[in-house]
Amino acid sequence: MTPFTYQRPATLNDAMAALATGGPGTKILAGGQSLLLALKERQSRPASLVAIKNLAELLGVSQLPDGAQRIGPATTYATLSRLSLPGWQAQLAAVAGNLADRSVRNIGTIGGGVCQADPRYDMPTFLTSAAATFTLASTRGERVIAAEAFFNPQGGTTIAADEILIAITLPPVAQISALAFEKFGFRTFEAAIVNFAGAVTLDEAGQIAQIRFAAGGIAKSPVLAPHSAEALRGQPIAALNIDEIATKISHEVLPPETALDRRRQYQAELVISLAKRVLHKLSRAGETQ
Amino acid sequence: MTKLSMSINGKTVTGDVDERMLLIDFIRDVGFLTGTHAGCYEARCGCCAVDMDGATVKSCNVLALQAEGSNILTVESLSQQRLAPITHITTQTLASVYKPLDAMASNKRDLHPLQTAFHECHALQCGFCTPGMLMVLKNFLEENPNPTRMEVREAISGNLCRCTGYQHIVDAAMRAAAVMRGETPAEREHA
Amino acid sequence: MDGIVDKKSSNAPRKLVGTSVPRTEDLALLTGTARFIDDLRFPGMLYAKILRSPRAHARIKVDTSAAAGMPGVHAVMAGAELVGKVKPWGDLMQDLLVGDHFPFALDKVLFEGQEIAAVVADTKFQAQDALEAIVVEYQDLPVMIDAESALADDAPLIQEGINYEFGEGNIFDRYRVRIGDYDTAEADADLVIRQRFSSNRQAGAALDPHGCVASFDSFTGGLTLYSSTQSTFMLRDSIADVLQMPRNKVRVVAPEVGAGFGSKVQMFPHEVIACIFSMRLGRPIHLVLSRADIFRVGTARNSQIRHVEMTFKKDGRITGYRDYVIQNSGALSFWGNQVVHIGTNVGLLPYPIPNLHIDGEIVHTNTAPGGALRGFGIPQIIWAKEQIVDMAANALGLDPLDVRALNTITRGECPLVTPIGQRVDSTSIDECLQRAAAEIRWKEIRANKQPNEGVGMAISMKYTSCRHPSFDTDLSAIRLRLETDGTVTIFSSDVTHGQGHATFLGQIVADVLGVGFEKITLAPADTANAPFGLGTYASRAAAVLGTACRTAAERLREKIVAIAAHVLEADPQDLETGNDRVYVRGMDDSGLYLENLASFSAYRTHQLPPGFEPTLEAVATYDTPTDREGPDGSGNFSVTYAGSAHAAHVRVCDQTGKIEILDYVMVHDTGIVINPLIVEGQHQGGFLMGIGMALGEDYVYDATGHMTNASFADYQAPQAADMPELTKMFEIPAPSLTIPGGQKGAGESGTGPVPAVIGNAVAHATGIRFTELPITPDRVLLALRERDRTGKQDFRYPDDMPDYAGPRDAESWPKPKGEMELFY
Repeated sequence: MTPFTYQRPATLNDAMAALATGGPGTKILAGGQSLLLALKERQSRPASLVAIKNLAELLGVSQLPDGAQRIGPATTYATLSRLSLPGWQAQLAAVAGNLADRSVRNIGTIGGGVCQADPRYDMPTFLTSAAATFTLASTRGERVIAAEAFFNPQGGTTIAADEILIAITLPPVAQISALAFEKFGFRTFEAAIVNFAGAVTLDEAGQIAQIRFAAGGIAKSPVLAPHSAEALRGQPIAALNIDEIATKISHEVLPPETALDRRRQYQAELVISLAKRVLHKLSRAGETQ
Repeated sequence: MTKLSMSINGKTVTGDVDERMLLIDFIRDVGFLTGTHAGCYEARCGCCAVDMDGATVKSCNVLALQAEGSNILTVESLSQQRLAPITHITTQTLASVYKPLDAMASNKRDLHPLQTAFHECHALQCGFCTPGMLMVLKNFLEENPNPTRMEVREAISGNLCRCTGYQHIVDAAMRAAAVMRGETPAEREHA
Repeated sequence: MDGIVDKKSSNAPRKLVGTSVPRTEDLALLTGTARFIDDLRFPGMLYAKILRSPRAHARIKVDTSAAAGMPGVHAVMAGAELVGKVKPWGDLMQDLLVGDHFPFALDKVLFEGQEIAAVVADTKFQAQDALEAIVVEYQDLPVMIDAESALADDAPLIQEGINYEFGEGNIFDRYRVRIGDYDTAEADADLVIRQRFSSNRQAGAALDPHGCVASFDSFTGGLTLYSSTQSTFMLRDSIADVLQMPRNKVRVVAPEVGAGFGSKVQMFPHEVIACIFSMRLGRPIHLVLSRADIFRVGTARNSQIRHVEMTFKKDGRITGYRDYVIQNSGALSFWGNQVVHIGTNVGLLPYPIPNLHIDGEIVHTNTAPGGALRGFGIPQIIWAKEQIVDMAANALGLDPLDVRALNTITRGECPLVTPIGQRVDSTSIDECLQRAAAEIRWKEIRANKQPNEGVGMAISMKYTSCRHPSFDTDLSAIRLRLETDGTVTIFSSDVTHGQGHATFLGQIVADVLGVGFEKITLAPADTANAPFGLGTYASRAAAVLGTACRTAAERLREKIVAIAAHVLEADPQDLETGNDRVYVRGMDDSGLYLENLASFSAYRTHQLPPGFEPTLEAVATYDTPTDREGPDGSGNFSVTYAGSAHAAHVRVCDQTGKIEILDYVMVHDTGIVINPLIVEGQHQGGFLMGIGMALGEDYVYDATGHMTNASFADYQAPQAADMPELTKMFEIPAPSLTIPGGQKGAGESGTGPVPAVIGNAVAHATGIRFTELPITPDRVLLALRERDRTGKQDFRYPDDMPDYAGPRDAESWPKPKGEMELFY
């Protein structure tokens, strides 16, 4: 690592002030599980670290009156994995408890993970499929942006140098009928080669009012499959031609003409396989309606 | 450089450290406890796992400053004897008369059930990954006192071993879990 | 530990050899008090770091001047200043020392990671900062990653200015076997199977990093090198030779060594560099490698391409084996070529094939140096040979189990000599084969074939210590000392690094001398006080070191009994040892305590009769009776042979390509086992290495020669949740007739058959024959899809994939370059 100063702001405002005065050489340190790897490799050389993992304003998950969940970005994956959340929101705990490994989850934070936005991470895909929103704050004010605007298609995020992520908000539980997340990596605990999530909203008749798909690991940010999703509107969730839809989704997010090497061809196949698993899970959600 | 204090195995350890110092290097070079090992510095192999405020972390991927004021437990905390193992010389004629180990205040060698189980099940060969395995398993078994073998395997999947192939480690974890639940584990089948 | 051997009755001393005594080593390792190389701290110790090449093949110009003035820096070094001062070293090529190794690259780098310069500073951070100030200009040269490109006629020379005895161009050694008459066997065959197989590079990835602390004492002129090594004497003699120092002024001490698997069984540039720094500065120098550097330079398994042809009769009998091996040994190699010689010879077992025609070319490429790794060439040939056996069985309509049973040597036939000259003293491999088949439920599963499920098997044999073709020795040694209080110290020539030497040697000593197990200590490995021997590798400890230990213990017992006979006024023939005493047979409660006898022989020497030598020490060596390789490739390289028969039941997921191992059986012949639990652990560890080689581990290079997976994040070392439960492990001992205690080596038996077992099981499950390693899920899934698209039976991966650029059939196979002269 190259040398840096270490700041321990007492409040969120102090943290934002440190970012504002520090400029681009100042970085936020939460759990450090992603950032420290980059520092040790000397790929990242910040002049100053601002430690936020104990800031009360950034910790914990609170349910809002409309059933949305406001997640403090400094909340560890381990804490998230132990939450009991209603309906589809319970998938947050499932995804959080199944990534990295025990020791990394105990100190790694959801905020750190999404700000690192490695294409192979799980949370960006999950949050994109759930249409989560991201609240960014600086001394200049606050703004709330959608997942598609937060994750940068060129890689990384669109956070400004002086901004800090202060909340990740899951939509109200009533907004989504079911959400399923699947991933595959060669070993049990390593970053996924491909991950895939689907979130469906059903009407009273069990037909698809809206559905969102997000595929991770195949591009620098999660890829939505809007055309495949749009084509499913109005269809009954329990009677889908899953194989056909999965293939269509794969062709949309990873067009065959771009899958020229073994790695891309395999990813395209995995999208089909994982999309099938997700669709099977979602189709069973219709049974509980 | 920054002054920094934390508790390691119940003792306060203070140092004046480079901000870049990692927790593992603070434990090893300031705390003088070398049982926590560095196998990769990439948060993958798990040889550096320690208990920080009740949960295991990979100490090679935590800054010492992040652990300021924390309670750290390392492998050396698992048994009361922290000194190098002292073997009692069994002088035939005088074995029952003198008790030199009492003088050295190190006759208490109660090992943690995991350490005993590792010994009985041959769950360590070169021993380099062992401290990390012990710390992760201790934390895991305290939270999951009655796991399946597969759950144990998942719990240690953040720790690499190249010598044992993990089989005996899982055997030892299951045996230790039984002991920690107050049961008497079955005799091993081997001679 | 107190009281561990608590089942001993007070009357009859229980024999410990053959029992699973819990290990003496464990307490220090379990409590974190054992000291590995990075745990050593010395007053005044400084930290060295090495600047390594990020390029795979380039001419370089190095300017270290800016580094010298950086904060905390004490010294900087690069290659130019060592030329003519430090002796180059290298592989021992059939008596000729090839000087192709040097502490630093000089005007050219040959592989990513090669040493370019080094600095010493007060702290590691300062050393790393200083490395960044060193300026290197690179002029890229064409990069050759695979061996075939290095063999091309226009391939640039990697090692320039080195004359290899049998090499030309980038070929640095050749291999040749001519036994019997293969051409006639081919003409007379009912079936010939020809298939090209390739295998992967693999890292030892021992978790304890390679590293050393060098300490030169300018008062005594002595150099002490602490190093995480598998062989202290090999290292001492190499360092002394390179630095042209007297060997009695160089001391190598091994701290606790956290495994090696063959990757720590040679001298490395970082050890030389640390020594030179220490000699310049007069201070201890710490130099421990990073994990990424260990992947890049810490020696890896050599990958091979084998063009194999086997001839069969229609009853399944193997009549001939022909092979052209191209081995990729990386940019330089200390042990690489031996892998082809030894691995092929021993890997032909357990089939006594009468007609052999084998050529090998061992090739340099711009990749990580190849070296010794668990299995040492046997897994690579078994991968090919045992799959061809299945292919032949399928073609002949025979059960692969029956074909193996027909061809393998059997217990009843031993001792025997095979056509290539192996002297197999004993084996139970035929019985192991049948047991493995029964335990995996071979016939039942094959009779009820389920989609995407299958069974596979493989058998192999293994050397127990193997004679390096260039040494004329294979020795280890033990010195025993009965201390003046009746405890025993064992001084060993070899380095224990996970195999439990302190325990099993203690078991031998306890049984022979009758001294309590808890009274026996193994001294730390230190060339200053250990007897000379070769080190720990090649599964040699139990048999070679164990025999030396037994002999030393017997010599010591003779002395003990002679003194006791004098003191007790008894006939030595009437005396027994046991329970820490020497006593007259039948009078268990009488006699002399060993502690008193030992004290007597040191402090009352004037009471010893004339002719009795004071103090109680004994030294013994054991050297295995083995051959040098003959010009036709023949020879017996091992004193005794262990056996392995493995079988697997697998399920292939046709959605992800993942291979799930539903059941795995290992049946081994390890002879008389000294400590069953330790041997079981060795087999399980060997299996891990085999599964890693089969399913995921590999060195992945991009076109520039950069290793893209030099990190545990990407390198596919198996994790616990991905390993099958090993509930079916069996020993069928065929005691060695050549090793006095009957034991055989265990360390590598678990590895050899594994890739072939998986290959055969996957072929049975899916009809897809994998001819390259590793068998990763992406390869499996794409193969399944292509097989379905084409409808091709007997689909081969990668040969039958549309984008495959290699030779699809034997007609387009390359031929060995040039004709090799007989070299004797």
